[in-house]
Amino acid sequence: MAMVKRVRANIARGSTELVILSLLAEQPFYGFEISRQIEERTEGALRFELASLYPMLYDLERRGLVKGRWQPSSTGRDRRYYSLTPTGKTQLAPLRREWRSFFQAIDCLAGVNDA
Amino acid sequence: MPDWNALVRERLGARDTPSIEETEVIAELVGHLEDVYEELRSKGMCDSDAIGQALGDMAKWRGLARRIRRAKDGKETMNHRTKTLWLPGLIGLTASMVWLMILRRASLKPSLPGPWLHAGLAFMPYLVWLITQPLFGATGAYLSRRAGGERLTELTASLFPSIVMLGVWLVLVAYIVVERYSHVSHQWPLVFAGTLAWSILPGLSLLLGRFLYLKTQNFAKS
Repeated sequence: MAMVKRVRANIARGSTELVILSLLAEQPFYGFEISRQIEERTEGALRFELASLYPMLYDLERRGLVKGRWQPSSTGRDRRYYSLTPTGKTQLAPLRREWRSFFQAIDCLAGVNDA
Repeated sequence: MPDWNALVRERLGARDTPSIEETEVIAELVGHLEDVYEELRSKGMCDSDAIGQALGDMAKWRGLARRIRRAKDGKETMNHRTKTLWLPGLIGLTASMVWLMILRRASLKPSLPGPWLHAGLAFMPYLVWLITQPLFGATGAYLSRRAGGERLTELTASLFPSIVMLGVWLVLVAYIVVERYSHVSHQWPLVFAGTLAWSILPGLSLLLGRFLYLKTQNFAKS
């Protein structure tokens, strides 16, 4: 049971990381924008709330994959914009490959693409 | 518009003089809540509903400070279960037992006469101990909640002293049954009375403490 939980947690964590890094590869966003972009682009299938989003952003920042910087938003208020660092850019490509292989492997076994 | 800063600080359990890093985190979360609130208001939601929805339920805030700290530091000195269950539980148990020892020692002094019960159980120390158990139940609940414990963990932490005592009594009963002590077989009522006195009644008393603590918390929030 603990093993299943750990696998689930790792999948959730890894997928969140991929989603955020992919988004920030396009342009810098601040927290609220990140959550809205993800929700809109996935038509509500993925939702990131404050409690899950910010610990992940801080973790990515600590690991040097993203960098946060305060700057005025379109509303004039200061917001902390996150952008991908050179390390983050380097990490994104293998992460994408890893997930592609993972989905292909799952598809081979479970045929999720045909469902 | 509500005072988001105060609401976030309260929910995160921030100190009165937060560090620069904490201030930044608070400012960022405040900004997020402002944006959610304004979005909901622009969709026509009433003020109180928009505030409620922006803040969400308490469960998502519980433990957020810990997760943020862990994300920023990349390490934890203790794991979550230790901080939310074992530590509060053991503190409650130790404090409760030390308090009982103090009461019993004090009652053994000749200058402090008191009625005595069977099996070496001093009535007055026991009664005082039982009456003061809500304090330990509230302490366990407080420490667990402060560390971000979920409802069940917090309940277990506050009941920890009586759970341990119940375990001790069950071991005793098992020992009596396995070893077939015929000379104690006629004393089963005393064994059950012991379970009641040392586990069930203190458990109820600890629960009362937890209940009063939660009541005080809710009252303070409203």
